[in-house]
Amino acid sequence: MAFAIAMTLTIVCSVLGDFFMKQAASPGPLKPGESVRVVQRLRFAAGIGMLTVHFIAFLFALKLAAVSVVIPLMACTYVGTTLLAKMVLREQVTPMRWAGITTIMLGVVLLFRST
Amino acid sequence: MTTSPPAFRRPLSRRIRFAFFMAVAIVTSCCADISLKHGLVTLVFPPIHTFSDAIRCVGLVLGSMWMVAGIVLIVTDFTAFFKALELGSLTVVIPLRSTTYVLTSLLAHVVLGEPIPLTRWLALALILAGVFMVGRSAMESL
Repeated sequence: MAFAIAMTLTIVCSVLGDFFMKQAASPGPLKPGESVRVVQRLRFAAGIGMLTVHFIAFLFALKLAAVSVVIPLMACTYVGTTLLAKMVLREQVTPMRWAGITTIMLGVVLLFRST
Repeated sequence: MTTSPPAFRRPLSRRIRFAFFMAVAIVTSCCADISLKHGLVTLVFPPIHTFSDAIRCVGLVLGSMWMVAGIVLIVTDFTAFFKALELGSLTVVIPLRSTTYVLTSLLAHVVLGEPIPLTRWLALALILAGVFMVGRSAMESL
């Protein structure tokens, strides 16, 4: 149970951390009265916060299970990030890109299962 | 009549800047991993019971050239990653970052002498194939 919680936190916070970092790097259209610098700083802080929680949860997960289990599960972040970017940021994901992401995931799983 | 500025004054194209920052992020990330691994293997940490023990450990880390180099490389990696995110989409930057698995395995093989079995070569080839597909699909968006 503890491992499942740590692993879920690791994956979710990694996806959200990268998502907030992307939003800080290119904020996109803003609401009237919003300052670009303030929005960027808030998103950057949110990103750093999420990545910090991710790192702590990752260390807990590594303490509870082997690297060859934790890292292949981390490959789920590729799908999570892609889905979030597609739904929220409206990024276009072509079938070629999905095929590439799936191939990378398979490669990462095989890489750490062979360890 | 207007003349175009000389080549060295023209801003680099978005695609070249993206490739540059992505390459810097990947290479520095791998070098950081190798540097930190080398530093951790050579350092001997005392057991931490008191606050002064913890301070002594921090001093040991900061006194190691490999550990300091690793930390500097991590900061460089993060800066380049952020610049790459500014230029490219999230669905491209994150998958392309997995090239670090390939480069770290190869560096660990060459520098630390870690063996690479056949299954791992196959896994590395799969990751590279995936990176190639994502890279091809990113050409239109950059």
